[in-house]
Amino acid sequence: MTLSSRERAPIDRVVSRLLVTEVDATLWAEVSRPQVAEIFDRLTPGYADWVAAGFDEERDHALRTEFASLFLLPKGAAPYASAWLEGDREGLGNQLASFVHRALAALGRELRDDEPWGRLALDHLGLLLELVAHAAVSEDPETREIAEHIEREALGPWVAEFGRALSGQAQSPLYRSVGALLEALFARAGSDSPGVGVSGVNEAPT
Amino acid sequence: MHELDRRDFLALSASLAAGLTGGPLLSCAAPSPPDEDRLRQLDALRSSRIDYKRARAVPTICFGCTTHCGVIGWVQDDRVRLVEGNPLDPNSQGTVCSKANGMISYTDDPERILYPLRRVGPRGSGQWERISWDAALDEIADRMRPLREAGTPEQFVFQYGRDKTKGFSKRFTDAFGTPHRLNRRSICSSNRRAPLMSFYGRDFEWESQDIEHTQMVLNFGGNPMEAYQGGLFMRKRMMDAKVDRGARIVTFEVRPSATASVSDEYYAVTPASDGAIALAMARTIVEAGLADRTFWDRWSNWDFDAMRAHLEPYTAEFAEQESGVPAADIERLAIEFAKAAPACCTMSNRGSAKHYNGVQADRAIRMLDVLVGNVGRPGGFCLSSLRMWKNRYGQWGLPTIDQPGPRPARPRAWKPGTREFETLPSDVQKRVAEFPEFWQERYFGELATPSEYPLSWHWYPMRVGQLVYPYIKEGRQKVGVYMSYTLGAAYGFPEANLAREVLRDESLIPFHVAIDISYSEQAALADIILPDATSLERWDAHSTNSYGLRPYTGIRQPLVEPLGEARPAQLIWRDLARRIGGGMETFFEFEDLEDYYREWYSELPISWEEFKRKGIWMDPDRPLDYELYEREIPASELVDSEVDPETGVVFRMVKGRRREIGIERDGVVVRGFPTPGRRINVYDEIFPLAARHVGLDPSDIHAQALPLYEKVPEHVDLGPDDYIFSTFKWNVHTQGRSAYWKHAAEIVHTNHAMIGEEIARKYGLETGDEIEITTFRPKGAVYRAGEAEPVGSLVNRVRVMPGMNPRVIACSHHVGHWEHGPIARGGDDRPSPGRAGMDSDRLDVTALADSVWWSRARGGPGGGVPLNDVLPINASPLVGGQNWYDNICRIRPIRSASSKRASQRMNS
Repeated sequence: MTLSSRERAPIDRVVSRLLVTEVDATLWAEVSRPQVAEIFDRLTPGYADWVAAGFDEERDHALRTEFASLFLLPKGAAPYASAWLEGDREGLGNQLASFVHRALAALGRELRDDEPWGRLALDHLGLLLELVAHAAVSEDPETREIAEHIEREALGPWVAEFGRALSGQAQSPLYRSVGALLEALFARAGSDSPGVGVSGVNEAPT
Repeated sequence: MHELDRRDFLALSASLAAGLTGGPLLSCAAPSPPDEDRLRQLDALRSSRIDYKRARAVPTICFGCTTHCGVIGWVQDDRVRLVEGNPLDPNSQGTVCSKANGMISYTDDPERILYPLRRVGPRGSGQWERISWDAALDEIADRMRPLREAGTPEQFVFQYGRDKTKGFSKRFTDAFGTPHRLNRRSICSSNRRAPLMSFYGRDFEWESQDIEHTQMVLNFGGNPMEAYQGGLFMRKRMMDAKVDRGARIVTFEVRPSATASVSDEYYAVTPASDGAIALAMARTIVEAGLADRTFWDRWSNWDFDAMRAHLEPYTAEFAEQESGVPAADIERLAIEFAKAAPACCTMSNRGSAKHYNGVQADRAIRMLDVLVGNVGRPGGFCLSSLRMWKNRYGQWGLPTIDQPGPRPARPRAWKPGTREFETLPSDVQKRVAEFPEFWQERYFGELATPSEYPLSWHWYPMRVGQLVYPYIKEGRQKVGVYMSYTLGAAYGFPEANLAREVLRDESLIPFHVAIDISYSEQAALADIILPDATSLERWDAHSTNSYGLRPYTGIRQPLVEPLGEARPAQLIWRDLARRIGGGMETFFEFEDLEDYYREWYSELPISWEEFKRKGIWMDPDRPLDYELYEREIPASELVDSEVDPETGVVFRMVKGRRREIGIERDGVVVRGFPTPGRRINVYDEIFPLAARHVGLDPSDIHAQALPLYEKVPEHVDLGPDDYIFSTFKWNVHTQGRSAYWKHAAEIVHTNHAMIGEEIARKYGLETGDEIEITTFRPKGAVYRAGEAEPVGSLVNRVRVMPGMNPRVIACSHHVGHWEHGPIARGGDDRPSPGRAGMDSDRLDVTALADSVWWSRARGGPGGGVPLNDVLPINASPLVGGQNWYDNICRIRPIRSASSKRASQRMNS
């Protein structure tokens, strides 16, 4: 799959939300769009019928439970780079924290406590995807270059694997589709780039 | 899966672009001009090293274990990168151990609990949903408020594992009106605290040996090189004393611990024989004429000649028979110890105390110090203030450091005639009704103050934590809401399966709130989990005893903001109190925690900012805490005091009660010791008194006023195939709380059963072979004593270890988890007992699991074996400390490594 981060930005934003917050009416509206349903159904057969059944109290409950199981508790699919990149977890987390800090500074952006990303660890996939999406849609070519850089360094090495695990762990067609989507989108990036987590961890300082 | 092409994804993107992207999801800061170097900077981010030009150094107090060292954390980009020792800490002297960096592990754990969670499936099923703090606190308050409004606040039961809020949680339970602020003290150290408080008074539940100036340490089962409250404070001092001054360390231990390995002499003693050795040493010292009669007569409450007669049966030969230590060595060491006085000291801990005879063993050990007169003297067995400063004993002249704001009244005692008393079982009512008044005034029901164990709460509320769940099961206390705070009972208490059984039973515990930082076995059995801030994210006041013998205080301060929605426990209790209302809120009126702690320390002679910058305060000119008991009391403090003509005790009547303040010695009023008689209670009538009131056989070892030794009942008739199953702690772990810290688990992740060469020969075992270990119930006056049915069995691999006592099988107890995440589980797919029958028990999939190189799937030993289900509840009579190291067991070889190798050869 060859999709630039700019082309992918709307997807990244929605996926980011799905990893950070439970499905609400707004998100449900996004993931039940006909075109989304059609593509997700190809990723996870049965999705279209599932989403057509609507978002009722029972489904809300089931999805909330699944969200906690997948992303908030052990044995799920922890959406943190440091849970996926083998090596020194603390080193990875530190690197990514520095990375995100500098990327935010370079983009002239900051995190606020009252946002869903505000107090997440800085290696959370939701935050990283949002950061990429934010930079990728800039009119400034240098800012767009930052998006590519973040993607290459901070996402490429692990997101496809995360997506594969997520689709395997998830019960609902929605999260299975999100996992498959990430796997498909990032498979190539992962094979191309050594990334922060793999090559950087144990290197001598520059 | 259908292959999608670029066109599909562009269509997907286009579809989504029309929706959610209503505005920037990341906030705009002040617009900044493009940074020309920005890409170059991003490229430079391949190092995880600290940039010391950018990082902040913030002092705080470690929470990696119970020692609480002053440390400095280096913070860069909102992450703590490194924790080092704080050289201003007079205890740790700037040293630090690996557990300090464990704080980083648990703070940044990608599987940490970061949001309030509510159970949505059956309790223990592992099904949760995230809820808001408002929803969580409202639900909890709605459960708690009716208990208070109905006049039954005691049905709120709070139990903590590790609470260092220095009384803040007590503020909450007192304000609510419940006496049930339970703990796990009996699991840990009450058997070694009780003898110390019996000897020296309630102010001294822990001692401060003057290791820096000592010449000889007699160590009875203490293990400061690995795991000991204050261990790090002793390590450097012990090694300095050895290297610089040739001090000698002698260790009596059942296995070759790290402390044994640095000792000058190590004796692999028979478990629970420490008392016999100590008493034989005392006898040797007396008979050799090396006792310090002057000190004994002036400060001991027991007649010297009576003591000599009491010691008569405890010969060195008797002690050799009991312990295996040669009589000649016992005598030699005793004389060497006495000759080194006062620059000599004893040390003891769980190794001596966590036995049926452990309380008396520690009293015997404590007697050695009194006998040679080293108490409070340079190089000797010293005592230094260890609690928050309120002008208590030894705190004279120090600024007051105490919680600000109005303090709620303590709940009333459950004396005869009260409503609460009427809720007690009739046999308990009868016992309590016959208690002396000073116990009735401290009695608060069977969970907080179990009437069969009055010495678990006589000095202060140590409780008997391991009996909380059996007592709830038996109906001794009705529970409406149970709140556990960083407690690991479901994994770590003896017979932890019983704890889990009770925690799962909604008829016994209708509502369980767990406050924790990790998804522990305890939290897994809750109805609501509240995420606690870690020690790197929170404030706490700090004080402890000073091995430098100069009192000091410190501050735990947040280095980073709490991740996710985690909150410091103080704010959780504040917000809960406000929701419960009914007056509770008046005790929680602060808004900002830093302001609260600033007021707490307002009397310090340095500014708050300076205190935060240094992390530690002490008066460097204050005299060292030598011979506190000889300090003369100023005349101003003697106003309205009286002297007891018989004893010389100086006291004052306060609200109709006698309050001792000192003792007259040679015409001078000095402080003495903070005991009722102001002398050292070598002879303590509290033991026979307590025994009488609980109906304990007067001949039982616990019923004796004098230190003595008897063999542990179940060790008397050990058969040839009976062994003693002992547990221990490693230096990189702390209880059951550290198995998910990655670097700690990489160092120690399993718990082979250590056996000596004798056992190995007898059963033909080699390191790596598997055995089944079956444990049995104890004898003596303890819970379910003498039942023939085994407690349980486990299978473990063995490690043959030279230097073990030949009757001992020793196993560490930190590992073998089934919750906390894949690192704690060591890659083992051990099903959660709470999830039995549930289909949600999935395999770990993350690289966290893949990186567990010690997992069985990768050819390693796995994540260890949980022990605690098969270790019997065994609370010492009267005091209630868990006798962890008395367990009788038998072993059965299952498969030997050699036969396995042969089998593999055959198969290949």
